Amino acid sequence: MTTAQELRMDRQEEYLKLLFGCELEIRAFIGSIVRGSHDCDDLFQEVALTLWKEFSRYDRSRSFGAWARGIASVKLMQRWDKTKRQPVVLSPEAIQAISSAFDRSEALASRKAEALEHCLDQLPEKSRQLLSLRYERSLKIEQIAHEVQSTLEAVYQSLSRLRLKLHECVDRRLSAWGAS
Amino acid sequence: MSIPERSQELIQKYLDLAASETELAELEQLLIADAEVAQAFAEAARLHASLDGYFRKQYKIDQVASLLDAPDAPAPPAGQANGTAGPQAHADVPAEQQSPRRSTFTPRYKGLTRPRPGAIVRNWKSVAAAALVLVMGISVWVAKNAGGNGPRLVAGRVTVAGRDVNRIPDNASFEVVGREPAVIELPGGARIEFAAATRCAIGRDKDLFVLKLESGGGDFHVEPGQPSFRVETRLGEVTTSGGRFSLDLITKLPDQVSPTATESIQLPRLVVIVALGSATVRQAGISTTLSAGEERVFL
Repeated sequence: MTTAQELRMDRQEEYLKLLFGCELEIRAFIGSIVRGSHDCDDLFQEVALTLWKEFSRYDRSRSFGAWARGIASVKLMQRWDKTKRQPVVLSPEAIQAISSAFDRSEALASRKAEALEHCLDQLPEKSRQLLSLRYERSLKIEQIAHEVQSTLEAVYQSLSRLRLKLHECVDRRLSAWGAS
Repeated sequence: MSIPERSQELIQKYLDLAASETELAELEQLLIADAEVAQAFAEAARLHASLDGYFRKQYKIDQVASLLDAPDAPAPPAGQANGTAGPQAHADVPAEQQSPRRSTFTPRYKGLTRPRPGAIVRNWKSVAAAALVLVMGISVWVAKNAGGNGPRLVAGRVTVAGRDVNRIPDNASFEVVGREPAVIELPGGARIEFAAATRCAIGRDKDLFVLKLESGGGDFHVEPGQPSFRVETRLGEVTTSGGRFSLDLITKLPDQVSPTATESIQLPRLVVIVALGSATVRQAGISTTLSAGEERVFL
């Protein structure tokens, strides 16, 4: 293998390491703005491709996640259509505000994801079942309401309470780990 | 951090795809005007994505578990898994909501139930019968393989270590030589037409054939019901439960392509085109399923 090829492999390795380290963050950002998992997957792939093409310009003193979100933001804004609001729902100003918020809080993101797994393990079975209907089967609130023969409002309230409890559990766990 | 309840409600509704147009406009204004609302939105979006990832992963685990349990473990009635079915089991959900038709968590806990004493004798007999079937199966398999029942060359030319072969030895790296493609048939009937100059090896992982594609590609064809295979490349794994797809693992561009063009094309790349059925590409833990007519490049 030539030195040029070795350098290329090293660069590729570094890029993949950075990308996989931030994948959940980038997906969370894109997924919060784009509607539809297919659109989200497509955009993520497009962003990943652009990041690789532009990788030589990446400033290593900056957070890779913030750089990736910047590129994703541009692509999201290009897709925004004020009248249709599909697949991008929020305006460019709102996208910018969300991107900055992600930047400000990314330091603890991976530890939070780790803490969440512990919190989910402690959930009562019935709570898990409700979350499973929402996330595993990707049902909308009205479909869940139909499935469990309840009202929209009751399901919405139950899910909101559950997520709030998980937030609190994650924060407690991070405090216990001395990370907050 | 604490934000007004209304902001929290709007964020939750938005993420649950339940916000109206008016609520959406209200949330948008709050996000722009209030950094704390934007912060809460980011946290909620992270949780949402983590839950999504967690439960999708669980779904796959449960699918495998239920497949393993399928022959002798019918699912208990909904809501009675693990003895947690009491109407007060979950305070967050009203009693009438507590019986979803399908519990995906049941399989994970099945192994924890203690067998009834009478079942132990039956289990012992079952184990003995299974062992006998297993021994017979192994004997048949050994007998078949002793006869050289491996992948065979149907058309074209293939070499292993520089020598022409008609059968592909297990795990041996082979190369398609000449200008014509080579057609190889796997035991069970699946056929692969390898393009000229392709380098590959065929091994086995239990009942599954594993094709290790080093470079080149071809046209892969599996009828539903035929034993399938997995194609492993440096850019990901490709599987199908039935279908026809082509793969092209491009590691270098043809000599006639100009150096400028070569510079702008990222290599290696895996091009997947599905003609019939579907194929799933798994790359770095992410699975992408392509259906007939779809094409995608993986880097």
